Amino acid sequence: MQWGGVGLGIAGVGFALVILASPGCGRSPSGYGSDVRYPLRTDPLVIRTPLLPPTGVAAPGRLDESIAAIASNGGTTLDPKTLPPERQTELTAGLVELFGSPASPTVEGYEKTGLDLSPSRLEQGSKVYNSLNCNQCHGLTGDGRGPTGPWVYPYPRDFRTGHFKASKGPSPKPTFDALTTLLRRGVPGSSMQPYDLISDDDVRDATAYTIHLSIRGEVEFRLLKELLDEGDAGDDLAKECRSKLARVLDEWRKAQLPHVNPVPAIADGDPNDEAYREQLRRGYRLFENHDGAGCSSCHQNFGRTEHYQWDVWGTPVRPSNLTVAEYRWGKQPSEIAAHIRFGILAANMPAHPYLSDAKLEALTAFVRELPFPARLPPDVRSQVYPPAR
Amino acid sequence: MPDSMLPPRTFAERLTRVLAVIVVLATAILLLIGGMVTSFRAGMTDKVWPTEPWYLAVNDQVWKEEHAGFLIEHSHRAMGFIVGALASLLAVTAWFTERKVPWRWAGLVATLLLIVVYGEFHRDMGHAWQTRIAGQGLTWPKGSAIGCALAAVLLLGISVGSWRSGSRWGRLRLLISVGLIAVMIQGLLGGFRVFLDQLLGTELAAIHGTFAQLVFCILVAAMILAGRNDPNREVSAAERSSVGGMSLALPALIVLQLIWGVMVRHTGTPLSQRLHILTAFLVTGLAIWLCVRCLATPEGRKKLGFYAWHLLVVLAVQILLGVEAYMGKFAAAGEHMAMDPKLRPITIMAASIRTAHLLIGTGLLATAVALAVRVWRRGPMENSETSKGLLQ
Repeated sequence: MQWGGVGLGIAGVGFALVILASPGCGRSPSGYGSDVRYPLRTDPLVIRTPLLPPTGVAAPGRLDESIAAIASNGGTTLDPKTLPPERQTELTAGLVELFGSPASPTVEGYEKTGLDLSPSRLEQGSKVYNSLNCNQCHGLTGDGRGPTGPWVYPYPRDFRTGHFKASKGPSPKPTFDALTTLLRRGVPGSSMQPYDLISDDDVRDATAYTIHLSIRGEVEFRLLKELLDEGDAGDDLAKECRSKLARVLDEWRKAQLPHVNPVPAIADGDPNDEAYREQLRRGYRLFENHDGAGCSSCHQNFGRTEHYQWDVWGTPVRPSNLTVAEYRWGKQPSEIAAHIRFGILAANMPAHPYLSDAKLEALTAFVRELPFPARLPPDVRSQVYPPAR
Repeated sequence: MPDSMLPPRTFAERLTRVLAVIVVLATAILLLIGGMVTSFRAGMTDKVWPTEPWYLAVNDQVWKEEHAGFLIEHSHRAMGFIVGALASLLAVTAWFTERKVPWRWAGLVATLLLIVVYGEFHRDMGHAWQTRIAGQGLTWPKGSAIGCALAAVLLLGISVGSWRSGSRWGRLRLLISVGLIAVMIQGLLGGFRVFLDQLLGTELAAIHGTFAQLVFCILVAAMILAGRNDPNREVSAAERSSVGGMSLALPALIVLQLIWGVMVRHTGTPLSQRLHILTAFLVTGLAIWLCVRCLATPEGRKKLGFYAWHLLVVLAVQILLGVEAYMGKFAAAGEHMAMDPKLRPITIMAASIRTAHLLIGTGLLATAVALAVRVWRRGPMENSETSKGLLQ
């Protein structure tokens, strides 16, 4: 039994070492190594999507191939790999100067946005982003191309266009609070989980770092577009980087300001109240009628029909199935109303700025009650949920 | 002793044997899919846990939109439910092999109670998830959790009691009960890896991967013990003293190696890489030494030869796969060379090799366990109600 004792000893030592080696002991966010750098973008820039809608989502693991095929389907893409090596080096240097590295991220001139994107906050945010494995989906640069990214659908958000579907205002960029709310809630119907068990500081840090990645990616996007599409961006790329950064920062600043045309406060209604039932009927007409909001042209059969469209990232998206009570960007009346009024620019959902408050309220009420047949007036219910023949 | 002289097996005993084999095969498939989950880093493609066993069957959108990550992860969950159901059935069936009626019924009641309370805990965790996403905070179902723990202790107590009373197959029933509890714990580890991802995701994933190997060991040992024990193949004391200790040390060393492998897959730390490579040399050396000892004598060749050759073949395949898996993960070239291995894109080929490496590693462990059981198994359990062998 001498060897048996050796075996037990091996097992015991092994478990002890596992516990010692486990990063779970006294966990604190672990950051990137100081030698890690943001690589320059290599995937295609989507400038214009094809006119014909996509037939379905890309095959698993083939996200980049499907985006590259956009050009042959009537869209326009630009390939950053065709940029001359010396320009790539210059551009990389310019971006490093403004945005640092994953371990020491910066946003030069961040004060203009009114957001706390200080180096200390970003450094902490980078650690949270890494330790929570956000990069497994969203990638090192926020390109949505982490190792898991191509294997899930909806695809993880690519922050580099500066578009966020969670924006509840006229800008494609969200407020800081809208992003922290998104992190806290997650995105139902996708792989984005709710980060509801971590501290407020961690959420704020991760949000700040996400904005850093978005700003860096958007500056890179705009410069590459200029270099590849328009031939040149001037001789001094570092100066051009600063110029693009100033514009992007200004857009982030504006996105934080109160909206000009805010949505009204909308209260819950009682389906037994005739006035509310009439409001639902009106909402139904607005939904179906092209003279109203015309929602049904995309949300065909109230979203039950698979009708894919291109989004700004060049990936196919399906308008929500509104008969399912799954609201990706918030289920509160004000959140639904905000998306109707301001649209979702990234997904080509149009804004309806001229819809009056009363109409907006009616449409919001209808969309909210849509998944619950018992709460709809009988005449509307029979249209939305026709009896089986 | 000729086989015909052994007492005939009851239907329950034959069924237990068949179920034990099915459970091991199903668990191997589960491990394969679990390996794919990690290889494709798909562990968090669905943040919701628990989900129903029939989730994939009723969510046709998942199939239409080719959610590869979802499909892999939910196939793993579905297979986990199947293994859980089979392990439960095995545990229930095993109690029908108990010939002492009071122990039999006590064991059956305890097993069923554990299954019911475990199901209740699973259901309560579903409510906990719902309250979490409704923004009402996290509330743990303490009642059903305590109920699960008490039911598990009760089942273990009855299993030990049945075994100590000298009942036939007492140790096997104990092992099967331990196996059922281990399968349940493994299911919870997998679930909590999702549920608590933001707090302990990587750690729980690593523990889940490690514990899987131990669960598989238990189930393989149960499968071998449930087989007919031919006294003609019992290893002599001299042979046992020659290879017995090494046969126990090898599975322990392989478990350690698999733990390093899990750490490499989940954390990729330089320490775990070094330990995994160094322990590979130790496992190879010990396995070859053990096989040489087994094959050195006529008795060893006759009684242990199959296991020894099997071990050598599996070891050779595993070394080849290990080299390929390492090359694919850490020795990347081209544009990915400068990237953190954790963030490199996943290719189907690399993921397949890593998954195969994991599965063959588990096969190596199963072979080593089978060899150890063969070496240490004494006396036909059918022949004695009170056999005191190390393993009946």
